[in-house]
Amino acid sequence: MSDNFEPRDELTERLSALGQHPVSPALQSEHLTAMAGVARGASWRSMLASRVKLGAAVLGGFLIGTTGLASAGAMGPLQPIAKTTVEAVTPFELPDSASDKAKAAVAKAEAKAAKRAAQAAKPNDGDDDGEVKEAKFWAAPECLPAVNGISHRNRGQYLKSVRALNDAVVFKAAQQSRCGKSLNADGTVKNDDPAEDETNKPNDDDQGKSADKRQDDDTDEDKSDGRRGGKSGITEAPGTDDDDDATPVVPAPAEDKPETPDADDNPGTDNSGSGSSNSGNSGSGSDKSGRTDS
Amino acid sequence: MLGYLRAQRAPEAEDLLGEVFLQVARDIGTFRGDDAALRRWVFSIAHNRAMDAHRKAARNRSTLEAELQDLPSLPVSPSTELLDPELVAALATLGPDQREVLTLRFVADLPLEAVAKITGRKVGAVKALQHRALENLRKAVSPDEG
Repeated sequence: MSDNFEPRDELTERLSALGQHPVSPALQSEHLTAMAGVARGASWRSMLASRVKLGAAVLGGFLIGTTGLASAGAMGPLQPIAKTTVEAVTPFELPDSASDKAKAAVAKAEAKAAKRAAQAAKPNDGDDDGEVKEAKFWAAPECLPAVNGISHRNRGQYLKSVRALNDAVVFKAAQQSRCGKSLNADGTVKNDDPAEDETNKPNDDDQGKSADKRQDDDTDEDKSDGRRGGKSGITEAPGTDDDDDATPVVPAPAEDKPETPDADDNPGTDNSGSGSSNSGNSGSGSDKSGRTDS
Repeated sequence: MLGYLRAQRAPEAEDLLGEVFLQVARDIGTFRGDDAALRRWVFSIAHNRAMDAHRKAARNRSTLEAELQDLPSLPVSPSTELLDPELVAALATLGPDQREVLTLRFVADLPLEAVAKITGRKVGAVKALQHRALENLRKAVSPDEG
């Protein structure tokens, strides 16, 4: 405390001594306890103030849904405001409205939709991977395009999809169609023999698989009676590429077998299912009995 | 602090000391400054408390002057008397302004500028009061020296 104005002397030293007398421990403890209580009260008030502020922010978030939306970055033009407000009173960090997460989600959805559309628009060559292992018949209007947006890899899947449409007429037409059948090099459908219409077989939606080859060519030639053996000369051998469908292969019913050889056998009849047209066995019209509509 | 309050002859100095520290604890969050400023701030609180206590006592005694004149008869903490009864008695003979300056300067060990701020006076006035206060105190303690 020394200063140039008044030098320290005995009197001033005695005055200083009055202020250096220690406080009794009891009095000191009493005062410190009282001060600590005041300090705790002040801290609690400050904590309460901050909690009230936080609670108000959370409550506001619940009321208008900003917290969740802001957390998801889905508030659009309000996102920056919500981000600033929430981050100011909470320790949370919110994403921006143009976050990579939101963008990635949108891009992913768009890519998925585009892929789906591309697959639907892609010509059905019978193979989803774009590789044409074997050309198949999918020409319109005989064949429906991708049913329900689902392309078909084989005849079995095609018929299954058509059947799911729950339209008997459409399904019957699909059964009678050449859709999904393999094509020859010249573009003709393999085993495309009208007499070999697999739809002759009732309740069989897997005509393509029902390759019931005629062992006896002669019997196939005996179709002059107009019978179109539904299963005679079935074009497709069992175990064709339409085998990935679960549709079971139903053998030709016995009734389809020709009864007797007929001198008026139709030339060109190919019981082996080579697909050659047979004037006598034109595939026009469906006939369950196998008879040809000459 | 307690010595200061006692030297000021504040009534119930221990209780007043507690009140000073409670106020310090409540308002410490708003304080901004260094150690010297803190010391000055705390003693200013003590000074004001002491003055309030004296005024309250004066109201109870009808007049402040009567209270100051009766200072020697005021109940004194035994600890104060044990410290330096002669000096305490000599301080009682000084006027309130002079006693205030001496106690703040020497008992509280505050600089002139701080004393000036606490008492609301200019530094020059504090110096003058201090000079006169020391002469009077010296005369009171050692009247033979004159």
